Amino acid sequence: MTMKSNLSHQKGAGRGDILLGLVGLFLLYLLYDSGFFTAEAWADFNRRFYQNFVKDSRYMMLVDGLKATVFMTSGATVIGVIVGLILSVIRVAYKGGVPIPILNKFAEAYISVLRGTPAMVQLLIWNFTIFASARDLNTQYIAILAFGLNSGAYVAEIFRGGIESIDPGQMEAARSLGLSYGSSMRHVILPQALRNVVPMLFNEFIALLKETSIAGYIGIDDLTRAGQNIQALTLEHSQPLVMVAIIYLIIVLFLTHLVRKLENWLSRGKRG
Amino acid sequence: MKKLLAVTLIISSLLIIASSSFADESPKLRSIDQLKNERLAAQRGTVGQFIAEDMLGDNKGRLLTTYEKYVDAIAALRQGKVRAVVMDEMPAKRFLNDVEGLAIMDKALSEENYAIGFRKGNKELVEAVNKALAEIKADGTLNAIFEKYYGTFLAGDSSTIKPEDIDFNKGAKGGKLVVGTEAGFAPYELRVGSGYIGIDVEMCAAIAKKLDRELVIENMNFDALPMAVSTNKVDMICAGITVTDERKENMDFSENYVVGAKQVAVVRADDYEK
Amino acid sequence: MNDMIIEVKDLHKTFIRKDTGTELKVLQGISTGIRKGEKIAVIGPSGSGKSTFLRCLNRMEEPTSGVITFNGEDITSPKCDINLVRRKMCMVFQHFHLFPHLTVRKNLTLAPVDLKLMTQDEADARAHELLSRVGLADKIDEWPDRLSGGQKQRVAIARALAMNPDVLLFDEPTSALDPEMIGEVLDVMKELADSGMTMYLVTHEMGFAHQVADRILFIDKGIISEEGTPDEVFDHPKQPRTIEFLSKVLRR
Repeated sequence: MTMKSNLSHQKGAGRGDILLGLVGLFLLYLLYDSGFFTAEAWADFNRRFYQNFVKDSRYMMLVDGLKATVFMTSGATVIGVIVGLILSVIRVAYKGGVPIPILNKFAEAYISVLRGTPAMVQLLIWNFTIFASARDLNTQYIAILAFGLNSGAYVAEIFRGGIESIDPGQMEAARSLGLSYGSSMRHVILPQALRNVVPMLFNEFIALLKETSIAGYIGIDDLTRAGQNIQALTLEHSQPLVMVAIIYLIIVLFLTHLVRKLENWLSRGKRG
Repeated sequence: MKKLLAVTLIISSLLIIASSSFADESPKLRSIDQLKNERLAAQRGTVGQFIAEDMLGDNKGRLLTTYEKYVDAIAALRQGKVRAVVMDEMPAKRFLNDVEGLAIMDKALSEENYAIGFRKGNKELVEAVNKALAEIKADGTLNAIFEKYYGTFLAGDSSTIKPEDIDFNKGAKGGKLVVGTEAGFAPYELRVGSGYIGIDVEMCAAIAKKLDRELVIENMNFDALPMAVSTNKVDMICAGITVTDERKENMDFSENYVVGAKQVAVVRADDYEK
Repeated sequence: MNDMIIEVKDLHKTFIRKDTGTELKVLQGISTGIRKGEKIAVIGPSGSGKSTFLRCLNRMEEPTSGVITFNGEDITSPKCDINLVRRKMCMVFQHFHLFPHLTVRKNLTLAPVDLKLMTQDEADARAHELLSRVGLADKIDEWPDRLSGGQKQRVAIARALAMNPDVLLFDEPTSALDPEMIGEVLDVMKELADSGMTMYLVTHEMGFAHQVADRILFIDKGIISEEGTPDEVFDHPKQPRTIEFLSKVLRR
């Protein structure tokens, strides 16, 4: 199994390119939307822009939506990493001879069920079946739980791949010094595995960020839903959605940039 | 840079495809009978969808497109993807105010009554709400709400109504009254900033006050509302919901609060000849 | 026999291939031991079981049957905490297995500090002392990937020494090294041997075994087929298999 990410191989897309891409994209949209720069069309675009985002501080709806999106994504990320870590360690430990057959079966079942069903369906089940009567619970917490547990199944496989990519000699060396299995995992195997899977983890979280856009279905005004709310308010179709898309894109590009920095930092001491 | 160029090209071609309208060469629409063989749109789960299905008969699979949001359906109409959108008259009028080039066909497709929906068997709450409803009908509160929205809102001035002016009866002793709605259905419900306005919202606020409960709005997709009320996620649903026999099998309704709401066909003005 | 650190009685190890279920009898009854301060070189053809023998001593491999005692304690019994045994019986591997995500210093101090045998400061001081001993004091804050093979193995030896072990187990410590780096590692091991460390050494370096070892074990087909002082085994081998093996190895 190769643990190298696609991200680490994308070369040359630096800050400049990202900026250029953004500006180009927005210009293109302007071009299309304004009917190729007639004064009339430009004025119309400005008027609609004002209607959609400026009037009555409607941009705040997007800001609040973004907050909800970021909140859900970060919460789900934390749950996803913890759950994924636990599941992967269970599976690896079982394979490595630790006698936990029931836990292992549970982990296997968990992973196959949560990976085998759509996140949308899981979200609906969490909200309308499992937490049907939990009305005082903020719906965002239900969403965090649903997305986090779902993500955990994917993260578990990422971690497992990362752990199994570590030379078995590392475990032997740690054990030969008298370290326990747990200590060896924690101090020797997991830090190396983590370093290997950071790019894939980030890809998972970028996917998660985009996946939270279905949260509107259970009544959460996330970024996507905020765009739709503006649509309903102004009856304008394209501008709010394009704006939402641009915001998502900026965040994703920023995270991509971040992961590259992180990778460089993690690989210090490597490749002389 | 090559990748960037490729992406730019793809996006621009998509935009160009999206912007070109598929203008029909067929004769203009004159009467609603013509719609039986045309592509129609409706919001998913609404009565508009059921009416359109009835009109199209066996062709509904081919000709009917349902959207999650009204805005999407109207966009599809304007882009020529469909020939008419079947929807409630009041929201349709608001679209005509704000969006150019639309028309409402003269004859209504049907007339419907709106009521509040409850979980099947929730008699206690149905009775309490009916009592409150009767009271606000009698003392003119409900009428004032309708006047307020017909007067200012539909005339195109939406910013005079502020969500913070609506009294949700915060901290009421009787606990919370959780109402599910789909806040993209002006003038009945609409999300404004971080709050809600609309006829249904204000009516529910008035009912909550009568019940000495605090109003809490849960904003979800229209087709998720029946699920939400039947699983007790919300106490009741109020979203311009038409009373139908089929719906009565799965939930209980309050007394009607809107009678004779018209279902109309919204078309492009240039595609319609009176 | 009271000064015996390790005693092995009738050690058997059988591997079972998971897919086919066929048995592979690698060790078929080994009985031996090592005294305090003794240096024993284990030689034999590849696949003879000499590495498996060494790995059974600290239960890197679980023995199939037989008894191993360490300082008088039966370490094959279920009651024995093998982690406590391993602290005192450290291993040096053919492929070093330094921890690449830790600096040289951390490689040496991780186990003593985590096991609460030393504070970080004490362990740091000890690390510096041990690195000086293997000639790598200047590399204390270096990353393992920046070291040569010989340097890595010297760090690995220092890492084992950081536990203050009673016995060191060397599993072909020079087999993965480029020829020009073998010398520096052997020098360190020679110095260790001279200082009185108890050592088990699985090796192909016959010259070094001859020079350093007190006793030679020749393992073939899972049993000790010949045993004695270097002079006896290398210069006057009795068993035909030993003669054949030595003639092949020494001719090279």
